[in-house]
Amino acid sequence: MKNLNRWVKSLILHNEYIDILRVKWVKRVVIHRAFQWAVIVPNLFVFWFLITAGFVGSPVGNMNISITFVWMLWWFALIAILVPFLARGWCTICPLPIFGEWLQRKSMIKKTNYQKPLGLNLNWPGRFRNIWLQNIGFLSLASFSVLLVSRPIVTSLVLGGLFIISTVLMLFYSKRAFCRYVCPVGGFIGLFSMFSSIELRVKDRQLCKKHITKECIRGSDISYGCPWFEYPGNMDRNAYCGLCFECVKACPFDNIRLNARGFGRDLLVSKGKGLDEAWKVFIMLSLAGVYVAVMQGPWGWLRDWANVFYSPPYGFALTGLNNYIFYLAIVWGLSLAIVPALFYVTAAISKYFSESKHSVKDIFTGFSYELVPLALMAWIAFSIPIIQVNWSYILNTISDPFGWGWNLLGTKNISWNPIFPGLIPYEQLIILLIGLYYSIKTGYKLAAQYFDRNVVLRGFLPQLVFIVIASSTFAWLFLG
Amino acid sequence: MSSSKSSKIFFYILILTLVFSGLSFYTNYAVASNPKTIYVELSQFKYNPGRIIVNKGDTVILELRSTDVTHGFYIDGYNINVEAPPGEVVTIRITADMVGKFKIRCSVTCGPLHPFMVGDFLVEENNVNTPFIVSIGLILLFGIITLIKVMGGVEI
Amino acid sequence: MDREELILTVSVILVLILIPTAAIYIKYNGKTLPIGPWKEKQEGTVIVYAWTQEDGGWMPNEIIVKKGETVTFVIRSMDMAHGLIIPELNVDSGVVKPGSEKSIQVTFEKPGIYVFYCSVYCSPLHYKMTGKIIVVEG
Repeated sequence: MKNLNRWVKSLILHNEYIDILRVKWVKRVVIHRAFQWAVIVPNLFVFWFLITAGFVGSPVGNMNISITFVWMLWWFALIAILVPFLARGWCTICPLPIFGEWLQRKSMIKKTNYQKPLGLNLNWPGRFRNIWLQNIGFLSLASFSVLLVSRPIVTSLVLGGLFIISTVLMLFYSKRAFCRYVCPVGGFIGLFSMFSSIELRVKDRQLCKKHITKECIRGSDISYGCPWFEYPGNMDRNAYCGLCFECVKACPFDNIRLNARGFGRDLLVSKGKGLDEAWKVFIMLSLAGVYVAVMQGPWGWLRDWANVFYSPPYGFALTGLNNYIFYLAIVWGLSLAIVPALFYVTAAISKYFSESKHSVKDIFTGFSYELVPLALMAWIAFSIPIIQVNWSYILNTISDPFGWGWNLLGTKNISWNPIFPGLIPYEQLIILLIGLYYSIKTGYKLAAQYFDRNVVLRGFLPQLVFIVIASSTFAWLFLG
Repeated sequence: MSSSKSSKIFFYILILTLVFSGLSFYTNYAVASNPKTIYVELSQFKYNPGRIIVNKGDTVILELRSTDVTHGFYIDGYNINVEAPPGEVVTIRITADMVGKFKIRCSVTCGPLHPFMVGDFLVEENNVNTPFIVSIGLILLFGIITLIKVMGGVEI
Repeated sequence: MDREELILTVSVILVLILIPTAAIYIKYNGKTLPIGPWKEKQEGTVIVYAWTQEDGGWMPNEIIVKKGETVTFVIRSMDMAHGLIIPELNVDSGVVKPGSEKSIQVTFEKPGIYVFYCSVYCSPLHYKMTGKIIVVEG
């Protein structure tokens, strides 16, 4: 309780790092070889059940547990709780790579000889060692997201497909190349987890430098080398740490700590910044707006455009293809071209105002990270009504997972009854203001890194205008 | 310098306002004066008009017609929940006594996109959407306060 | 691979096979299981489940009755609003709201085949949502 209190304080004041692994039982749990297996397998069963439900259950979205659990419960938990507070905590328990990892390691729990893994164990090709594949993958899923979140069978096909892709890729390429470079969900979790209030780091970097055998990379008798191709000794950002805790098991010096910390610290780290991540920010920011407009906006025609398989819904007859192409142009154009172009102009003005030696491209890439808090909060604001309005569907489907008229737990007939729906726009505004706060804070600190002391404010001003306009656009979507 | 800064901000806000008002023309919406009947067509996953804009204190009569399946008509915060079966005209009377944007939601499962069948019921004050204006003001105010606080060097 | 790993592997695989198998079995043999989708059958009544055509339409969609018999049909709308009409006999249940049921009594005096339809537009394949009642000589 005292620790929790300290953590909450550190979240708000940003004044300390608290090592969670110093809590004895936490450490004992995560260094147990069965830890990851024990959290993944129950999760695997749940997702297996959800995939099954999508195939055999009702085609009506809110009557099928696959839709209510994946796109209401899981999505909300992921974006509003797991990502902001536990970084890549989802990746710890994600069932997608379990088959691949199982085959590679030829075991679930026990450490086996990793020198001879099953599969080809190839190195991931250098030109794809970035998150562009994840960007494209996420945009592709987003292109038919209206189908994805409303048709159980589409959800099941996508989840099943991801299981197959992950397993196949893991048989070809070494370790978790799928998770780090391909998984469309992993991309944005990584980006947003840099904002997160938890981090895995080493206690003493000098110790790591002097340490020759480096079990955290190579593995030891009791642990595998980092499946995410990270070296804890120089890790500054959460982006690609899957929180699998193999390095905690490996380190002979007990040099790994899991810190509770203030929000948004990794966004200030200049090492590792790249255009791929910058574009991820724009994709997430734009898509939050598109999703609010399509799924919660009054524009029925926009919904029709996005709902390409509308008539007849399950025959996959492509009606309204022309409009759907317009919709695709909006989604891809906005997130890949228009919003980045606007931000590029902002970066150029920043350079002009500050007379900085940095190139516009550097400023563009570097400052894009200031938009991460705003994008995350926009997504949380988008997700709030999903639970507040549709919570009853989740309870209904627990009693009747396939939509077959069962009533297992007596919650089938709880009627649809939103909780204080009139407050939703104001909750969304408050969340948006939190995003605005962290974005401005991050942006100004970045300006202090990039610009000379006397022109920091001048250089930051265009960025401030961009942040305020972006926030106002969301405020218009929520309240206007 | 500071005057050019503020004029720049002013310029951006002006553009912002223009963009907003331009965008709002793209929704077909109905504006009610007192007392008025608005015909609302309900069809799979949309309300037409999608935005119903009234002034505070107005009493409006909504005539709901479903053109395909049974839909619902629920307004956030207004405690209104009626069903509109196809082939019937359902009439409801609303006195707009709360200001703000309230989502119209479908309350009867009507197909795959049912949870996304939403519309807007916008109650303005003398043709001004006060909560939105206030929210923009809050964003500007909050932004400036944050900036001043961060410039004060909380910690870098 | 040692024994513990083997037991774990086998049990996980078994659960993974069991989940879809059980679901598919219940879907197609629901009548014999206590929690199947089409479970209860009371005497003298025929429960007709109405689903959108894409999810199977009427269940059952073929009902055999004897000439002169009075049958009570209980119509249950399982997903959206549906309604049962038999135009030849002028029978109409009216709209049955989703999740609710309505009963109608029908007496069949002439042998033959009567087609019943859904009276409420429920999906683009609504017009295909039909079934038949076969009236046989007592």
